[in-house]
Amino acid sequence: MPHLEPFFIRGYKGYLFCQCTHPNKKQPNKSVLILPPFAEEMNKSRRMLSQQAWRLAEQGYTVYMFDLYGTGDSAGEISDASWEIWCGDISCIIQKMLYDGFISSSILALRMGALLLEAVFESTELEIDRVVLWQPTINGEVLLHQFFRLKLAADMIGTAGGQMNAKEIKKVLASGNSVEIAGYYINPMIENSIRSAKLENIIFPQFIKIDWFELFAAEERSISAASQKVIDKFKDAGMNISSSKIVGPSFWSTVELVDVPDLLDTTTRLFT
Amino acid sequence: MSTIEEIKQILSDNLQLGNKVMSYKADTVLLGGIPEFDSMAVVGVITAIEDNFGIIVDDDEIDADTFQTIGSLVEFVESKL
Repeated sequence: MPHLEPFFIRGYKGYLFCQCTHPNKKQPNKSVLILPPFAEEMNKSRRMLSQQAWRLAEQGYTVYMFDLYGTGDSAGEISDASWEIWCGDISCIIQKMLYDGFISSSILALRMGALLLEAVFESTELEIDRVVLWQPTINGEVLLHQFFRLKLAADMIGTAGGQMNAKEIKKVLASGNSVEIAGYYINPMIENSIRSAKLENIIFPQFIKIDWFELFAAEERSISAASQKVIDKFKDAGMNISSSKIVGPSFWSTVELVDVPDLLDTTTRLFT
Repeated sequence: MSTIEEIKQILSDNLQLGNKVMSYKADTVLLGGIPEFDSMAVVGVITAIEDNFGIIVDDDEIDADTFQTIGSLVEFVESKL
């Protein structure tokens, strides 16, 4: 049976909380690094990602999951976080993986985690053979827009004071001030970095295998035009990419925690 | 799947309402009627609607009237298709 090892490592700016899921018998070349989604989405996703880590460990993979600086159980406050720190955190995790004896790894990235691939590919020491994307954020601006809506929705329902839409939030950030949204203090620096991050601008290594999954409420829905554009672009660039849809709830944003067994099964099959 | 059925599925998925949604009709009240329908849920539902129907919801369009009932939400989505 796999087993869990929680630990802290020194990150770019503060200690990072890591959760390593070890297989019964360690195979030195098989590892997976999980790149987390943004803010509250990680909260909701922890259960699904942990389950996936466990399933992959059952297949002989050592799976690394961690919290970015200022999020989850890692040190610091999100109000002090920056994209540079987060990319630096990823380098620190990669160093730990190299130290543990891995020279190659696969990546599982959820939502904003896909945009953090930029930091993974900067490291030339750890070879990446496969990338699995779960509902990847293709445009950081859209992610922020959705996040900012939390404030608008709270105002609409009357659980928070003041009326603030995305435009007004952007105005506050543009003036150099932070904004509190759903308990997360977003600073202008990180807002700016996420806003300008685009999946299509990330340069993937050649010959890498990419599996792209999107979740839908109904079978007859198809992958959005915006996603398809990026997928086509990657294909044109000669990348080995396949996209699939899974029918199931958007587990990273549901009110109660929810599992999507189909996504877990399909992902596990990629690694068997 | 008709728009109303798909909206019901999205609500069920996002709010974990299970089979309860089967009994929902166009005049079922959302805001103030379903306790699970909080700000997180509103945002989750809007995002799921955007992803599923391939539409973009403008901030100005998010108001209490749209989320009054299932019918008003369906009407809104159909106006965007």
